[in-house]
Amino acid sequence: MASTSTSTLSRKLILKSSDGEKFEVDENVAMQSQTIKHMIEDLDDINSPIPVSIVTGTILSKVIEYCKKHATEDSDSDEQLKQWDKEYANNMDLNTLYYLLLAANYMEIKGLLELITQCVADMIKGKSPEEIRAHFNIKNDFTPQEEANIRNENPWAFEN
Amino acid sequence: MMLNKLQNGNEGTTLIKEDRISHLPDHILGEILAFIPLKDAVATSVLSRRWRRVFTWVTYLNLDDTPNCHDYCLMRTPHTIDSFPNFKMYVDKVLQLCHSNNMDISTYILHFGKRKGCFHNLCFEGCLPVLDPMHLDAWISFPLACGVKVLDIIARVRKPSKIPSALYRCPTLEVLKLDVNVNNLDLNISFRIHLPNLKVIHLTFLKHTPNDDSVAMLVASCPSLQDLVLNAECFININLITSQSLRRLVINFSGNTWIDITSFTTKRLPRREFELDVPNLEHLTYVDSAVVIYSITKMNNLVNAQVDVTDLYFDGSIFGIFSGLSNVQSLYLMSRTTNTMALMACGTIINLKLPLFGNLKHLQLGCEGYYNWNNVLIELLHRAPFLETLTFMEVSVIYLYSSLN
Repeated sequence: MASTSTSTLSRKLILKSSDGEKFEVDENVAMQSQTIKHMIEDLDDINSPIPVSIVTGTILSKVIEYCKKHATEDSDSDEQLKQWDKEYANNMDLNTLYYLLLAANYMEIKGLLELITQCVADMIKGKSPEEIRAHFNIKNDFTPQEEANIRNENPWAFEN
Repeated sequence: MMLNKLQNGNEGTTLIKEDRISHLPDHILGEILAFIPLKDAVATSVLSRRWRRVFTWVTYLNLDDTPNCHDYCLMRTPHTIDSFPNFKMYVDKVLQLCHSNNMDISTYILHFGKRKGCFHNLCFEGCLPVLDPMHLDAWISFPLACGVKVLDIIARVRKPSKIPSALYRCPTLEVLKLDVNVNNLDLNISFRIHLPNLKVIHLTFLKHTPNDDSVAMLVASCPSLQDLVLNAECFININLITSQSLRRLVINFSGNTWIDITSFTTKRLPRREFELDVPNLEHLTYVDSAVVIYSITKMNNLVNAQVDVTDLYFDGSIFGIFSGLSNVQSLYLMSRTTNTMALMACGTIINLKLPLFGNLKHLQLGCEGYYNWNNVLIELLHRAPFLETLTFMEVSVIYLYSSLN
């Protein structure tokens, strides 16, 4: 601890993605991930890269983009931050959203997990089962009879 | 399998046609469906075998009869008293569904019968929905056995019943918000209370309260309680709040005001005493006009306090409230309070009996109304040696000007 006695704000951490890419980030940016926060607590040498083992560099850079935005307080109003979040999520394709979800879940970044979860939920909302299957490429593995039986269990859910 | 996919999959466009969402972990799918109306969530059961029971992992139930609420507007019914039968059918179906699928419910929100901008006590009973007491009881009690943590109920019915007593013996409950027109605020707390994890209580009282100690009992019986909000739109008589764990207290009995006015012309209210024993409180908001005598334990950790009181008897006993607040760091005395203090101070009838506010750094004063309150200001400044900021709120410029002159 003695060697890192300079201001906590300026401390840098190195995150290493699953494909070996390294990212230098401010500690307060990385600390938005509960997983990394816990890792740092157990770490002897703060200068060695912290492995984020299941997240690729492409995804990690997007996660860091989010954490950077949310680490700097006061610069934006809540309204502006919400707008930024919205644009951030809207710019992702379905694949990226999927990997971001897993990354946010693994890294325990509550805000990001909620943002992407909401975004995926919005894609499901208001769609018929057929439209949802088409959107997410979900293969219907029910027989027509099985499907009819399920609809009959809760017919009100399928009424328009 | 999941990890391999993540590591090996390059996030190129070639993979976009794969069904990825179905491979997400169960709890993430449950969280996704929690964001959509339950009706839509249930409809996902037909997507594929993987999705057959995903909706049962939703633990968040929001049953609201307002038309802008997504869940209900899907039933395509306008919000009038006539649409209540549809809402009733919908709630019954949802609860039946949760029951038959053994669903855990961590958050249960049930809002019905209250319209925005419609003051309950000016509202005729006729515009309230009719619901059998047993039925209401079942709706309120339903989540108690499902591991509920957050219970948020706003309900208005034509013939109100009692709060089901099972509510007070729910070990999982952490947040309880009740705004229900039960009969004469019969909280029905006669059984043993067992709410070991309850941290937040918000209660709204709608009808005149009999002089009982049920609220005091409830508060004193919750060992983890940190946040207590009591709202009353009517005359209410709560004599005691005692809790060692409480951090935030909001008492908003603004509804007591109109009774005061009538009491001058008709009969005087009994002198109400109020005992406040919350030594670890950090945030206090207190609005009341029907209390006369205070007995307050000193709050050593008080960060901020907002006080809006008036004195019915003009004998200064109301200022007993300040003895408990002497450690406060930030204090806001609203207009009614400063006006009352001004009346006291200028009449030379009585001293303000203010304690020394040794930690007070920020003082906000409401100063509309009486112009002759510079005595109050001087007295307060004498009593706050370490004051850093003084802010005038609710300012009427003329009064402030003449006062400072």
